[in-house]
Amino acid sequence: MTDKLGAGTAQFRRITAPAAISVARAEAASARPELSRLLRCGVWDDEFLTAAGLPVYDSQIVSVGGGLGSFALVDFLRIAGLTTSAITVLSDLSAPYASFVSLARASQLGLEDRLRSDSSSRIDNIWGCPGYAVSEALAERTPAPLWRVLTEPLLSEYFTPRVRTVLTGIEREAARIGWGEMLVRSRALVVRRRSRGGYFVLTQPLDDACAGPSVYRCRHVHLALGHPRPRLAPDLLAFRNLHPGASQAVQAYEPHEDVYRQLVSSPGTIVLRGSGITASRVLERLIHDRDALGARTEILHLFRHYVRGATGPPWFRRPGGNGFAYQPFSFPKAAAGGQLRQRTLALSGDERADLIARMGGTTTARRAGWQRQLRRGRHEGWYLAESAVVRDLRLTPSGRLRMTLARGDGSECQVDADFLLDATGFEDDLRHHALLSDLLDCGGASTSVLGGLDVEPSFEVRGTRSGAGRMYASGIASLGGALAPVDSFWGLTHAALEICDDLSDQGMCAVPGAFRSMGQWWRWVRNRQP
Amino acid sequence: MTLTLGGRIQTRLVLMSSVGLLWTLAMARFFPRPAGVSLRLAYQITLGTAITMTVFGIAWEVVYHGLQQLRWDKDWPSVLGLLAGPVEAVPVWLALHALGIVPGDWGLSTPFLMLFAMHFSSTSMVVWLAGQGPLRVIQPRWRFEGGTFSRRPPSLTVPFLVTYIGMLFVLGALWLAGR
Repeated sequence: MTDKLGAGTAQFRRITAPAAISVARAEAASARPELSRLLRCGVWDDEFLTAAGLPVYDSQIVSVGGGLGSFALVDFLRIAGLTTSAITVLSDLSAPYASFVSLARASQLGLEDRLRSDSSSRIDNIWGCPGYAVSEALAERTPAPLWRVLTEPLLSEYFTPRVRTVLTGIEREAARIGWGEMLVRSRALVVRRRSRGGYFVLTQPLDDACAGPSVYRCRHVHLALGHPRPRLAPDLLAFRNLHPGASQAVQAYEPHEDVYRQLVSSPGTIVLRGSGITASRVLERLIHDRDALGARTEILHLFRHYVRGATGPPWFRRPGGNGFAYQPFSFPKAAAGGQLRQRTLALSGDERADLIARMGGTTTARRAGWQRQLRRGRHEGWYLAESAVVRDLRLTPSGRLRMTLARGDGSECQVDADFLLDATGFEDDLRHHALLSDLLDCGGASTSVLGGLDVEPSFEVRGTRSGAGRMYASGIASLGGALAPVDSFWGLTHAALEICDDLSDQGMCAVPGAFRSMGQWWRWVRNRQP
Repeated sequence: MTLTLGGRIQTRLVLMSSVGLLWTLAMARFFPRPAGVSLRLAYQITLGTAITMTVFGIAWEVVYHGLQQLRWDKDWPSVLGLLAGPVEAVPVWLALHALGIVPGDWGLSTPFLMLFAMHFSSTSMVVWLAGQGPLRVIQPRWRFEGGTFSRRPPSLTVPFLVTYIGMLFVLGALWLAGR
């Protein structure tokens, strides 16, 4: 499994400029002039494509993305009775976990490290049974995970699965459902409505360098494209434009192993920005390097919103302290399938967006190990937390960073440091995703209050219906819909369930009722094809 | 577990009238009963216990739902489901005496205490275990819908049959035991 970690490491490279918004159109048009005429049309006809000389392939449903969002849906559909010939996955990823592994590695998670996800949120098992805790107990021949999941969170912290456990499960399930048979290695450029119902997906094959664009004609299409890219703060972008090639200021989701290496080899100061789970993991790594490798790193941690304690009314009070807002997972558990999910389902527009924002936001898990590390850092003086934002960032003649900090109390100060590590998360503007940007321009889609695609509770993208065909979106692109934690294992599986239900209403597959579900689960246990 | 109030009540009804009922019917004869007590009385007591557990359970779920509001995650940790057993047992034990289902004194010295304790604890455990895994397999939507059973007809059939036929079966068995 170790070498698989490299599978998706090229997913996020160093960002130097904003992504071109119409990459897809430009690429396609420059390669085939006749395509530019086609791309000007919002609705395509079969004859247009024949005239353009594009090869057309048929599929009942096409899932664009090929990461965990596609995997979750395809898993559901296979269990609901669809054959591999009815499904096509268009992806530039070699494995469904490639992007996930890339992100995990960038956020300092090795194979043995634990994610921020609960035991029953299994991406490779639609029933969540057995949970990851059981699988891990069996694989490692220890009852410890079982004890932890039994007593969580009262007598122990929440059980969270290892990266290895998750990857092993996905690998097994991908083989079981025939992922390889459905996967077409290609880059989806645009999705257009078909005049007779359904959709066309214009793609550029990846494995054949000589092959030109081709088109997939399908009744339904599913989009699960993930995050466009890490968020690059304006000051970081300006710094890079001012000092091209300077590696002292990096985004935490970009490869930045050199930063840790240099801090081990010579004492230095690092400024860390962000208060989410990635910032916590960066801190863990930096402190680990101090303890295990003898680094003498000093850490200045900047919080835009410094949380001093629990916030909210008694009936909706989120723990917090030392700058961080704490919750075990990215959203309260009930936002996934309990009473808070019912509330988001019942609300709409601004009210729903407000509730999602109050439940989510930037938070981290309150883990005892991390608390001990930071307590020690504060006590020994090598960890300092400040409520401040960076106003000005530049290089000194000696090659160090010099930044002006605007503190929460209104004062300003100047700080010199060796590195700035920005862990403020991902870019969630759909316009940074070429295909989604095109969809907003030409496909009839619109955005929700929170900036995701405006989707129905069934995850159908509003305004994009084409005859009997439906377009669905899951993952971060559906932020602001009726489900809050869309960008999680649970969220992807939940979205897959809703989409599968909607498709079964269209007569495309069978609703996995009680007996089918039991039979399919037994097949999963025995690792037999659905 | 992330349960809504409706989901809590539905789940308790379905599990008690399926797993709880079957367990009671299958195991009542094996629980220790005082010398001279007939199997019929043992069934009367255990089935009466199961029904009282279910009815009182609805009230308990309202209490648990209220307590759940104090948690940020608005969830109900699994271990609380286990710890609830002893708390729920006391009122059921008192009610069984008040209703005359268990004869004699309600104190700790009563010979029926072991029968009650064995049945109550094992039934609670079996029902809890069913909620931890098997229910998710039979009803994949259950965990996504706050513990309610889906409104989609094919999914509704099984819990409906289990719950209502199960309840009728219990009442029939009670009637037979009481004759």
